[in-house]
Formats: sequence, C-alpha cells, structure tokens
Amino acid sequence: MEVDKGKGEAEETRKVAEADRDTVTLKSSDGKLFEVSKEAAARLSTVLAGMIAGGSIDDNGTDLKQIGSEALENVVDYCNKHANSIPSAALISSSISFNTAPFKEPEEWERKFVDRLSHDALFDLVEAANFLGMERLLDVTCHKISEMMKGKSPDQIREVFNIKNDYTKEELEEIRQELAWAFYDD
Amino acid sequence: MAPHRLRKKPPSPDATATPAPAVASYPLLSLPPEVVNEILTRLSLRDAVRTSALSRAWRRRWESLPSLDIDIGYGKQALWTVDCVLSRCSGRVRRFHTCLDELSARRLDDWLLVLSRRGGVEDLDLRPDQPYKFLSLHSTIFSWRRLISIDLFACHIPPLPQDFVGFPDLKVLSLGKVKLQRNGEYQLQEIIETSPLLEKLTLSELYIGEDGDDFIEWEIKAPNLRYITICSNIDYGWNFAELPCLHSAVIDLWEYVGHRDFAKFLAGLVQARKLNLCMYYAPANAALPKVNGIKILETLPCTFQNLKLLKLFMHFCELAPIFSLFCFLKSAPNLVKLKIKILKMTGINWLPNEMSFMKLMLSKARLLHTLSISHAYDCSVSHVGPLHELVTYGRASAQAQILFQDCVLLVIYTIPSRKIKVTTTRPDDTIEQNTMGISDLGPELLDLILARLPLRDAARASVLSVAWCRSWRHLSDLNFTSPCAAVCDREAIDGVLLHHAGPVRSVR
Repeated sequence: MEVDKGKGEAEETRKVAEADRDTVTLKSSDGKLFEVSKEAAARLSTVLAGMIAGGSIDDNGTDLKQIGSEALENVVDYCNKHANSIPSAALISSSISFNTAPFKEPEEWERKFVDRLSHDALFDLVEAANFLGMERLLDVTCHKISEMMKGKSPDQIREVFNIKNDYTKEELEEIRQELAWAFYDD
Repeated sequence: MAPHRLRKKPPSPDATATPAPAVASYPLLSLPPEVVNEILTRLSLRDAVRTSALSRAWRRRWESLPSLDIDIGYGKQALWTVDCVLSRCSGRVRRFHTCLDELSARRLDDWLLVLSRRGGVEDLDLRPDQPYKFLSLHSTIFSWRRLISIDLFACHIPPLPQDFVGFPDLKVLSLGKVKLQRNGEYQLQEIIETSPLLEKLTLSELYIGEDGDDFIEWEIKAPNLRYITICSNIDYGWNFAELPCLHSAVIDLWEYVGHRDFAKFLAGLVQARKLNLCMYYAPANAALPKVNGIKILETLPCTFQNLKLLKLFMHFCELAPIFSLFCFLKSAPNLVKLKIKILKMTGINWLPNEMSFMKLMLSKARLLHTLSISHAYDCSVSHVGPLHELVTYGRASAQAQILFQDCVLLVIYTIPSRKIKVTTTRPDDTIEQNTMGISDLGPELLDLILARLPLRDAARASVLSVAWCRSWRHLSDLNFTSPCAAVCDREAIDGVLLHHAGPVRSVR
C-alpha cells in the first residue's frame, strides 16, 4: 500500500502518533513509501526487527536505498499475505516429522506469489529478502530459482538465465570428462 | 542477519516503458554469493555439479558451496562421485546417503574419516549395492555429534569407542540386518540411552555375536520415542522401559520372547496408541497356565488406556493366541469402547471356529462397517455355502457389509438390503481405467486389491497417488513367483522386506 508523502497539515499529528502506530513506513530507493504492519515486519525480517527495537525507524519513511519500489512492494505484499495466511496442516504437523531436509517446502500461496513474478522481479526480490534478513522469503525465492534449474541441461539453463557460453568446445569436453559421473547420460 | 551489500543493478535504458522481459536481463552470478549458495544447495548434487558446464564463471562455483548433500542410489558410481566431490569441495557434508558397490566399499573408511574432519554429517544412510556384501563401518561415526538420522543396512557395527558420549540430536535410528559384536545388546542400550531426542527406532533382523554364556536382558529407555519397530527371529532380550511418548509400535518377533514373561514385555508398550503385533507363535511363560501344553496369556499387568488401533496377526486355530486376544481386549478399555468397525480376516479356511468368531462379530459389533474375508491360498472349501450363512446371519450393525475375495473375484455383499452385489474386477483393469474412483475405496479395500497383484505391480502402484503410496508395504502375502521372477533374486527380496512394514503371512 502506497501512501502520499507529506500532506502538510497531517504531518504534525502523524509524527506524534508515530510512536504508537502499529505500522512502519518504508521508503524505496526511488522515494516511494510503503506501510507494513510492525508486527509482521519484526517477525519476518531480522533487519527490520533490529531497526524497530533500536529505534532507528524513521517516521517519514525508513530509507531502504538498496531496494527498488517494485521489490519493496513485493516485500510488503508478502508480509501482509503472510500475516493473513493460515499455516497448512503439513506445517503444523511438521513437529513430528523426521524429515532432515533443511528446507521447508513453500506453501501453495507462496508458490503462486513467486510464480507470477518476472525473472527480474524475482531476482530483485531474492536480493531484497537477503538484504532484509527475511529467512522465509529468501527460502521461497531461492526455491523458485532452483526449480528453474533442476534436471535441466546446461543449454536449457543458459537459455533461461541468459548465460553466455564462453567455453571452447575442447574445454567443455574436458569438463564432461572430469565430471563424467554427472554428465554420463547427456 | 547483517545487511549485505547489494549488487548494483545494471542500468536499464527505460525501465518504466518496457515490460519486464521474460528472460533474466542480469546474470544469476551477480546475486550475492550467499544467495547463489542458497540456490545451489537446493539442487541435487548432480544438478549442482553440472552448472560447471554453463560458462567459465560457473566452472568451479559449486566447489565453494559451504554445505552439500551426497545422495547416491543403487547402481550408481559411488566411487568416482564421492572421491570427486570430497576432493573438490571442502564444504560440510550435511547428508551422506550412499549405496556402495564393492569398489566403493573399500574407500568407505577413508571417506568417513574425511567426513569426520569436517565435523561429521547430520544424516547418514549406508547400504551395500546389490548383490550385497556386508559393509565394515569405521568407529569414527560414533564421534559425529551432529547426527540427526542414522539408517544402516547390512553393516558390521564396530564396538563403541571409550570416549563415546552419545548423539545429542539423534531423532531416527534405523538398523536393518546389521551385525553387532558380542554383547552388542549393551551397545544398543547405550546408544539409545545417550540419544535423548530419539523419536523413531527400527531394529530389524539384527545379528548379535553369540558369547554362548548368559542371556542378556537390556532396556530400551527413550523418553521421546514415538515410533518403534522390532522385527527379529531371535529373542535378543529386549525390554521396554520408560517410553512415555510412545505413539505406535510394530512388534514382529518370531521366537516370541520364548522363555520370558510375555505380559511384562508387552507392558512396556502401555502408552501406545497403535499396536501392530504379530502373534503367530504362542507366547510362552513358565508362570502361565497351560492348555494342552501351550502356555496361555491370561492377564496383562497394566491397562492400555491410549490404545485406539490394534492390529493382530494370529492363528485362529490355536487356543493360546485366541486367549491372548481376549486378554488384550480386556486390558484395552478404549479399544473396546471404540468397537470394531473393520474386521479383516485373511487366510480363511471356513473352519467352525472361524465361522463362530465371524458370527459373533456380526451379531455383537454394532458399529461394524466391513467384514472382509479372504481365502487361504490353498483353501479347498467353496465359499458359497459359508458366505451365504454369514450374509443371512443376524447382525448388530445396519451398515455392515461383507467383503469376500478369492483369487478371481472381488465380491461385495451388502447385508442390509440382502441384495448381493457382485463385482468382478481384474486388478489390472481396475488400476488403468478407474483410477478416479478406486482411491476412494479406503485402505482396507486397497489392501485387498493390492494383495491380488504381483508384488512388483503392487509396489509400483505406490506411484499412483498418496492413498496408494504405502499400501503395498502392509500386504501380508508376498508373492515372488509372479511375472517379476526375473528381477526377484535374493537381493530384490531383501529390498522388499526392508520396505515392507507389516508381518508377512506367506512367502512364495
């Protein structure tokens, strides 16, 4: 949710009320403001939690110079959706699961959330999640990118991620020989 | 997490005017290194290693991963893979799942020592490739304090080192066909006792070196244990002590704690909600009364308050197990209150006592939903007469139906309307054409249908859907003689028995 900056008369009252507000205002690199629930921000982002606890939240919008407005909008959107989502049965029962896998599967809504993003928006979001110390969002975005690589041939991955093949034919053959066990059925 | 420096996004000429391109406009490797690590560690080892063919910048990228999972299945070249990965990547190995052929088995000690220098692994799964020869395990694994899960099959377990302090994080311990040295009972006891978080314990067909002397009685003491499975044809003197969190137990002992107090043995499982007991062999106890020379279990020293589900595999032709059943029912008040909804009787020969029991159930079980009956494979008596007798017999439950199955027919008798519905299904047709409806049949019916399939097809049905996933593992008949004979050598049978959870009634 985007709010207009600095409506003259409201400015003073807003500053007073800021301390008790249950939202924080974040400012993207291109100067747009976003509001997000203080509780969700503190719960989902270690960096924002630290800033809130340390009192370094700016009433007029905390500068996040490293995050563009599109990515910040997605971050805020994710926080809001997360606050409203009901943990699935799978997650609740995971306390008795013996799965030693370090990564939790994304939930359905999280899958949809990242599926609709363009590649660039996904990359921006994964960086923003990393920057803000948002473990779960980082998990979900990294999962999505790894899904785009799983079981693909090098050619397919190059195409998806726009990677230029700068190997000579001989070099490539050498790699295939060295790591034959990983390439044997290509 | 501290804020990380962000990559400068390459300037895009007019970001607002053009829609986001479908293909990434900036490189994956320009993401912060820790993010690239996060992405690569989510790939399989093979996929991660294959990124080296993408471009020069990627060539050695995977080698700097801080942690990786090594997962090598049957018939794969463990030797090259593990040697290559351990020598190129110095990261921590989180998971080491390896199936070792003879050549790789000779390198196992070296690998385990390398892993030890990196602090051990969290998840260890070792088994020999087929045809299997027992693996010798280096005792260095006992120093791996990070272990969460241990799954060993066909391994020689070395004695515990003097300085063994336990596995503080261990949740799963699964030992199948492993060999322990003399007094290995004490070793097991110590491992279990020093793993306070242990939730799941499987001990299947252990061999413990004989010392010819005393019979060792020992205790499984695990305050957080929820699932326990013990399958053995030898009584290794196990006892249960203090299992306050026990949820379910599968106990399949061939030589049923022969010379010990069976009732006391069972009492250790008193917290269980689900109990799966194989009682083919009459429990023997010198202190119990005897009928025709067989000792009878009359009372249990405790009440199974939590028991909701009891599965018994037993002969109905002998008095001892029948008495044991009644003894159990008397000691499980909540089970009795729950009533019997589904009664499954396999291996039926239409003997008078079997008929009496089924009639008793029909006339008394008010919530009975299904009585499913299947023939003993060598049953020579026609089902027509006895079934008619059952169908027309007075019953306490209005919705009770009788399901009968012999080798060709799946017959459903619905009692209330006295209408007899006969469905003839060839199992193959069922699977291919009626996938939609068949999963709705419920586990009992799925079992019945699966039991008719060759073992290979039954196992393969597990890919159909979640409902099918584990069904075959509980089949009570394992038929190895069907069309899969070509692949069913001794090792395949081992594989099946390893994954098969329930007691086995017949093996052909």
